[in-house]
Amino acid sequence: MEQDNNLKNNNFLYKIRLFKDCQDYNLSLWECPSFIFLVLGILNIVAMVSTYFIANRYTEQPEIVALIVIAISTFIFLLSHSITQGFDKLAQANKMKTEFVSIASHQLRTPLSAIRWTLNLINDGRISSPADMSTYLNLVKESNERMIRLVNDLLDVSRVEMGRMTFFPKQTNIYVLVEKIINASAPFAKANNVSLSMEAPETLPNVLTDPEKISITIQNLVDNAIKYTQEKSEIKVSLEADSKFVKISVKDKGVGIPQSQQKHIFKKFFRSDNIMKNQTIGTGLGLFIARSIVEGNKGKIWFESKEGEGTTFFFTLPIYK
Amino acid sequence: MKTILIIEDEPTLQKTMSLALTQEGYDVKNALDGEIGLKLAKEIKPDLILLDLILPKIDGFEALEDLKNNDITKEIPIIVLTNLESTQEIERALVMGATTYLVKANYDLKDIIQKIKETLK
Repeated sequence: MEQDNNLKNNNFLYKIRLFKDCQDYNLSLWECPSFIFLVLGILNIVAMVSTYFIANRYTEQPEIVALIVIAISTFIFLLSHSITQGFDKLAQANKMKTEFVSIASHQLRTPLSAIRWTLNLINDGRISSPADMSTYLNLVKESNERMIRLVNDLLDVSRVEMGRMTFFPKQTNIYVLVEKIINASAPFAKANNVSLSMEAPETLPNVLTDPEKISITIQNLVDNAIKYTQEKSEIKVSLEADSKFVKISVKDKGVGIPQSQQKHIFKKFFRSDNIMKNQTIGTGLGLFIARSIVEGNKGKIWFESKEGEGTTFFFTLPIYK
Repeated sequence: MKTILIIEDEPTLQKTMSLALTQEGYDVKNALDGEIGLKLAKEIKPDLILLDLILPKIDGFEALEDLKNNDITKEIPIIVLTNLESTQEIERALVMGATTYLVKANYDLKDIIQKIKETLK
């Protein structure tokens, strides 16, 4: 192993980082698609040149032979290029999958540890009163729910990536849907010292959407707004319509998203530095799923944010016609 | 009575560990983030610190560095108790002066208490 590493460290090709990916995947040079591609290229050139010289010596029309060889070589060269590209893509997908499993497992560990330790307390007879027992069993329940949420989110992510998230769009009263979520979120908001309000015109057209899936998006945006607002303030959910779309916005006066990290905000597992400083619990999957749902419902999602001042998320849904 | 400071932001983990250690006869203090953890460590000068790594405000590595560079706290044994377990993180914490590095999910409470007792001997 150590020898292997030394070899990699001393090898010129590794040094110039030409085959960095192969090194990352722990592949030897002869297993490395880009190296094999380079070798094929060199062999092709050698074959072309030598065929030309041999043809020059033994045939009357060496140019035709050379042209045929060049055509065949170019074809082989392009073919091998596409094969190596394919290998690279597979390797990349595999690497992403490994990272995904690693992050997901790590995120499951916290609630798993919490369940393990609480059961330890119960098993070791450390909890005597029924009231305490009930408190600790509730903690197990909370951790269990957290794991279920995480696993469901992971399954949603996997469905999105496999293109298997299915939507059942139907005529939906978006006002009623938003109102229901705001009412259900009121206790969570109150516990975090923020208030929730809703603003909508008197009449609002129905939208064409999958109500169950779009509720996940609205719930996620409202939950984020509550979680990342630290001081007593108001979160406003507004609805408005134009001729084609209904626009829903969720505005908070929370911690905001740092400018430099705004481009990553819809990437899965991404959590910005400033929220990691305040709220370490979170998966970084919510907005990735939210965007996939909105786009799957033929809408658009975007945001405006300033660190320290707050964030407004917007999304649109097509009007039912 | 020996004092143990638990710097842990996950309420259930903090609560369970705290109860078990109190029942073992330790005086347990809790901090839910790195900032309060550092402040408490300097104030009460505990006999041992259980330190999580992913923490709000000041993370575990920053806290560890601060604790080991401060005359009041540099001799206090620190057990890093986390769910991160890459080789780099383990090495980094041990090089920075942590006494032991334990992965929460891999240990029962009684095993961690055993390690604490061994460290405090």
